[in-house]
Amino acid sequence: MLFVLLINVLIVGAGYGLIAMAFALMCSVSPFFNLTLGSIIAFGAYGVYALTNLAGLPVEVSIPTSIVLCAVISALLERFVYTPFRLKGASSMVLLVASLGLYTIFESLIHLAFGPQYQILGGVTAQNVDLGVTSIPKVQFITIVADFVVFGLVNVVLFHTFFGKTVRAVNDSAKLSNITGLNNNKIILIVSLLAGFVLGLSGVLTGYDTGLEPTMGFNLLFKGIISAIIGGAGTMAGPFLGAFFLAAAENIGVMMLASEWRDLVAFVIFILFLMFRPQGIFVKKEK
Amino acid sequence: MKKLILSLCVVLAFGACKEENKQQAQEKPVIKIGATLPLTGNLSYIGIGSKNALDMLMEKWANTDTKYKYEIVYENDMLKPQQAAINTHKFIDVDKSKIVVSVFGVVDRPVDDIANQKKVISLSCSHGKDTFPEYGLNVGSQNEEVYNAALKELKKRNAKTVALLGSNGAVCDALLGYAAEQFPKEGIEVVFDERYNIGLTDYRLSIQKMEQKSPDYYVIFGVEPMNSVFTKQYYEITGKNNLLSLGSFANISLKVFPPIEGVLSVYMLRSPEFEKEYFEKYHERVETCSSHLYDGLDMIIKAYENTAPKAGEKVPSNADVLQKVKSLKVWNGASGLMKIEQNGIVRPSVDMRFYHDGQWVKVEE
Repeated sequence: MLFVLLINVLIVGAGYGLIAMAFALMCSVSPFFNLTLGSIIAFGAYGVYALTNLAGLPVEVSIPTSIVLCAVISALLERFVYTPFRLKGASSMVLLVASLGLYTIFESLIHLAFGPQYQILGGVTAQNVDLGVTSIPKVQFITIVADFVVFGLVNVVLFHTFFGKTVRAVNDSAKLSNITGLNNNKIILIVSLLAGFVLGLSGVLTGYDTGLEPTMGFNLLFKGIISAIIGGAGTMAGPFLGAFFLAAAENIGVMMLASEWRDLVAFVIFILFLMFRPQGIFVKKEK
Repeated sequence: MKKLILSLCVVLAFGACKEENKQQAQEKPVIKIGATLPLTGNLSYIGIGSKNALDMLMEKWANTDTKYKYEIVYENDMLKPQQAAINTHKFIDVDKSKIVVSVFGVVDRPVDDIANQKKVISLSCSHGKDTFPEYGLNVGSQNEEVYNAALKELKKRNAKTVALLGSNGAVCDALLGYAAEQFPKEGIEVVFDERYNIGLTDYRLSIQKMEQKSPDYYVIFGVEPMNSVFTKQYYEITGKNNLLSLGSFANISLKVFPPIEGVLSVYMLRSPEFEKEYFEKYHERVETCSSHLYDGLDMIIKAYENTAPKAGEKVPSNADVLQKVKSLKVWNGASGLMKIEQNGIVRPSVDMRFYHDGQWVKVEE
């Protein structure tokens, strides 16, 4: 049972982790609760649905196309919505309200285009990966692998490239980085492109695992945000590990109590962290 | 000349008024119906299916020579009780509806209460209804017949232990609670009994917990998409098909993931004629509630047509209409043969089906 619990924590935590990392990445350069990130997740899943189920394209084409489209949409939103707001000196509250408005528009558009019903993604045959004691569906295995790969890549980009240095500079002080000649808006644009890519990937994987419906993005984003806050949104290891921490707490709750306690456990932990350790488990080292 | 034009206008106006009065005298009294349904949201398939069925019924009665004219107005409640209450007030106070229609669970109770206070007929399709308002008529299977259908099949398959899992919604909880009480009396041990929150999509650990108890059968009850997602994950983990659904599965067209070959489901009967007519009109399968609301409103309209108004009244009272419905005792309609009880519960028949080659096939006796 312990092994099964561990596997389940890995599956659930990996799903939360991808979103938590994308959220933390965006927060590092543009610190506000961007709810349109939830829309990007839904776009990823519905993109594959439109291209595979409706247009009949093979998954080899539809999955990468959908993920790239998510990255582009994320960058376009940053360029044409949030950057103009930021240039006008809008507060994070204004940006949050703007993102809420956009999220509502996008959700309604998905409703209108695809209907309110749950849908499933086609084009792949269900296969299991044997893990010895138990087996898990291939899509869940890919989610775990993707979570670790994305974590590794994000760390390489952030800590071993010049671009990563500029991102960290904006994160430390947007004003100072601007004075030193960095183009903050360009950096935020590239980060939103990367975050859009990760969120699109998460949407596709979730779509294949549990189906899709118009509000899916918000529910997933919420768990991603909780993971990032628990882990510490100021670091990249924080959201990655926070997701597993949240998944473990939820699953232990299910194991010890019952399924209906799952969300309650998650939100109690969230509130406790907000009250007693708002900076999260992992805190960024101050130089 | 002016006098001539003026007289002509007076004559024309008089004639027009007279014609209008004549038309009004000839026009049938209108019986208004207000239907509050979940037309958007995750469960909109139930609301849209019900609306389709009610539209079919209104069309049928519009093409029949009737004493009254029947008009239906729809409002969306998104299956939220507050919105259903607002809609009901609007139907009764603004539209002056004689009948209000709602679906089940959390919405039919506030609708019943408001309608009962104002002596308006409240039609619903709730499963396992345990409130019996004076002006209520509920067409829906009750715990006993669904449980009995499941029990019969489990006994036939020699099941000695079962695991129960379902959503913590009132309807699912009541039925599973009833089953948990009754199974041990029949020699079937309940080795696991848990509920989950509506909307959950991760059942893996619950499945593992159930597997540890090694039940002969898993008895599940939740609306879609939860039923389908659970079944998919159950099959992914165990590779088995020993599942019996107390509803949802076979009764609605929405499937997130197709059911596994061989799984069992209690099936709410519908007449083949109704299924055929519905499919020809909407090119979709009949949803849960659709045929029940169709039958309920059909009974009420028929009762309106066959009940004499009291002296000085244009239409019969709702109390008399409901009494007429209850006096029918049985009804053979879109949901097959049904029993009408004095407490306002109409019980449709159910049977057991299994999934085979993309179809729900009746389990032979």
